[in-house]
Amino acid sequence: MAYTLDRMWRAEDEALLSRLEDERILERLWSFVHPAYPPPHARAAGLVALMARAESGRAARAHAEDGELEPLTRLIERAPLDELEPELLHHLALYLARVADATCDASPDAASDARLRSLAAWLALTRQRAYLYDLAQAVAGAHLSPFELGRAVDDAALDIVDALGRDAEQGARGRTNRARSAWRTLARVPEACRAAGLDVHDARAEPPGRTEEVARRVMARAESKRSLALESALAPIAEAMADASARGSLSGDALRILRPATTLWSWTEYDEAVERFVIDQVSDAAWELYRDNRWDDLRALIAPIHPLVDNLCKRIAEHHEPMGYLASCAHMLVFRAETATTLGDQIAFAERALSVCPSHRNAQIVLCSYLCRSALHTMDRSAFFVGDKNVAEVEAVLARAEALNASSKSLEEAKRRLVAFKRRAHRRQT
Amino acid sequence: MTAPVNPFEAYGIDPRDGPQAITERFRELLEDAKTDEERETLRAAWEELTLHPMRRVRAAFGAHPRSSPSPQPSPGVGGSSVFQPSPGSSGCRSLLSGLAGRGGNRLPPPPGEGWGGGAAAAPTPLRLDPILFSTRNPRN
Repeated sequence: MAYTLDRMWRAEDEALLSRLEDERILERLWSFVHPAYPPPHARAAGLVALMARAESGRAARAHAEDGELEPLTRLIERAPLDELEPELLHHLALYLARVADATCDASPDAASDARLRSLAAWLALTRQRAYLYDLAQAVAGAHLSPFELGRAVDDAALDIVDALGRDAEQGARGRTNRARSAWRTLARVPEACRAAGLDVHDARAEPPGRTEEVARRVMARAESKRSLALESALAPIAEAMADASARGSLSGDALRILRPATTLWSWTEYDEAVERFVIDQVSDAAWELYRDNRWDDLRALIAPIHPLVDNLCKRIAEHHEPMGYLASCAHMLVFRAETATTLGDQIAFAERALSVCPSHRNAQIVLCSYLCRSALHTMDRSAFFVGDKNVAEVEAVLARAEALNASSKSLEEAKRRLVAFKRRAHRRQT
Repeated sequence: MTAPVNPFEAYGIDPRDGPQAITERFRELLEDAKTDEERETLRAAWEELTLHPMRRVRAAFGAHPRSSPSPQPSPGVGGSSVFQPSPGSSGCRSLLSGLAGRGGNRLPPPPGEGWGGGAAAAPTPLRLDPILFSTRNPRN
């Protein structure tokens, strides 16, 4: 007996076939991108099904069936979140979290991108609220009050931030790639808020609206998690410095102990907190070496932290913050001046110290001393042919030196030499 | 490499079914469990999902929802080309290799293709499979 399929084909058969096709596409998509990592659950195929409800998604799905997976991948990575229905956002958030898990060891930056978009999808869901609330209500039944259900919804994105914080904290000491990816994502939370359509700027407004409140809470939590992760990574360094100080070996051990902090600074993508930590920690050891005139040791100690100091100085110059570190940065530049090998460099670093902190007494004193030496050099160089121009130049330098430190002994000596210098110039003219 | 496991997904439970359905499902699973260790794992998962509603909600948020497939034209209504097997189709194998489970229950690949065909080798679309979409009963 002959029969045609269209006479017996039911809607259920069609649904089953579509689901199997979606599962197969998902499987191939996963093996295309992350073959070594366990694939997501078959229910994740809903991602493909829901994507295909939009025109662009339908085309991408059709391409995927033909073996061309890039269009679907592109949609997953870039489709504007505000155009996606909540259930699709839910799939996307979970799928991308798994992508991040699969890639974070080999490619922490790519994993951070996936995590960021996953978080943005959660934030978009939190913003829409109704989908997550209905799901929570269906799951919890009467066991949770409306208030508790609302809290579960509000905390959905915060839970993701907390998980990122745990990853960052657990791996920050060892500077693992997983932790780096989490750290980087925490730093980009405002970006996730924007992708989810939350107004980051209004999040600072008083009083905030509900969506702004979500952005505010998520950003604050991310900051606090970053601080915790950093504290966890820096704590052993601080302890080792305290131990060395108690043993009386701080100046000898500081360089070795602080080296991981400079590495951590790069790992955190130049975080200001690490800069402040290192400057705080190095200060005592540097002063010890400075007082003992151990210039080579001081030079070796501060050389690795030059980039950190320079960066903090740049922050101060650009934003006038952190104000509490003006003097500390100036100290570091004075140390650098004192260990520089040419007078020109010494003057340049001392000038920089004063530009960071104009009232820094040490910087004023050392710059005065350098300027006097510079004046003496000028006078020595002009021993035979002394002109008014030479005299004026020296006078200007010494006037600056006097303004910095009028009681300087070097200044007295330089002034005495200036009198003789001027006499020579006068004799030459007559 | 280990991946996080969601209990709703791992035990095939729809979170929306509620605690009663969860308990039913775990009862079935416990009946089938073969070792004490397995039973203990199941019991812990059951308690996790039933005794703590907030954790149940969090687990539900972490589970892919059961989504209905994308609506597509029925083969009986849509273009007839959907029903035509592709000339190069390998019949039963193409269907079954596509449906093969993720847990290693795969059929041997066609000669020369190897197991890792994955993205490189596009399998025959299910809608072109001659078994599913034969227009005539093969027995006649």
